[in-house]
Amino acid sequence: VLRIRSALLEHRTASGSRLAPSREAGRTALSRLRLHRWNLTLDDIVAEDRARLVDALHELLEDTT
Amino acid sequence: MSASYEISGVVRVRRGPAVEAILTRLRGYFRPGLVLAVEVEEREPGILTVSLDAVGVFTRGAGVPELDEMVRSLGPHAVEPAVFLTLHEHRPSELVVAPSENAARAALSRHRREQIEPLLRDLIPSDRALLVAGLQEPQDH
Repeated sequence: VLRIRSALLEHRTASGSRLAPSREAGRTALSRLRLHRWNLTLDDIVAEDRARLVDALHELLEDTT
Repeated sequence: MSASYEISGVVRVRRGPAVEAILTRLRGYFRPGLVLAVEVEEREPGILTVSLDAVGVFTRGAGVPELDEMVRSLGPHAVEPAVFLTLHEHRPSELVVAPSENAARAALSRHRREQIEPLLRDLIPSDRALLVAGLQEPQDH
């Protein structure tokens, strides 16, 4: 069962699924996916909402520094 | 080849002959392969809460643009803008029902922000910085 699971994990990772070989790789993949999707919709966001998102992002960036 | 279609959402509209006519068309709308549920409640006098859910499978390319148009035609009578979620051939999209183009733009923007905001923590720091840069780029409009 472990061998099958391991093979599946490798296959899924190679094919771009959200299954990943490590927690860090999974986090990076999820982050990239979110950013890619959101970038496609940024044109829909007006200045006021952009400013709110930037404020929220700056707060998160400060938390991590 | 077949294609799937879904739409769901809720909008509050002012009661009137034009709205009644649209609702009559919506309730009577039939297309083979489509299951459509339209619920209308008058929770406060003169204001109708319209809930619509539809799901169907059609011949690819046929689509149901007239249903989208009927829903959109409630816009001029909307008390406030509403965002309906649609799936065309498994691609998610939004249909905004609003009394004006500006109101529609503001509603879609708020909808996008509300989609993104709760998930910002999913971004790693370098992607957070990239998103800030993207949000701060000058807009064409």
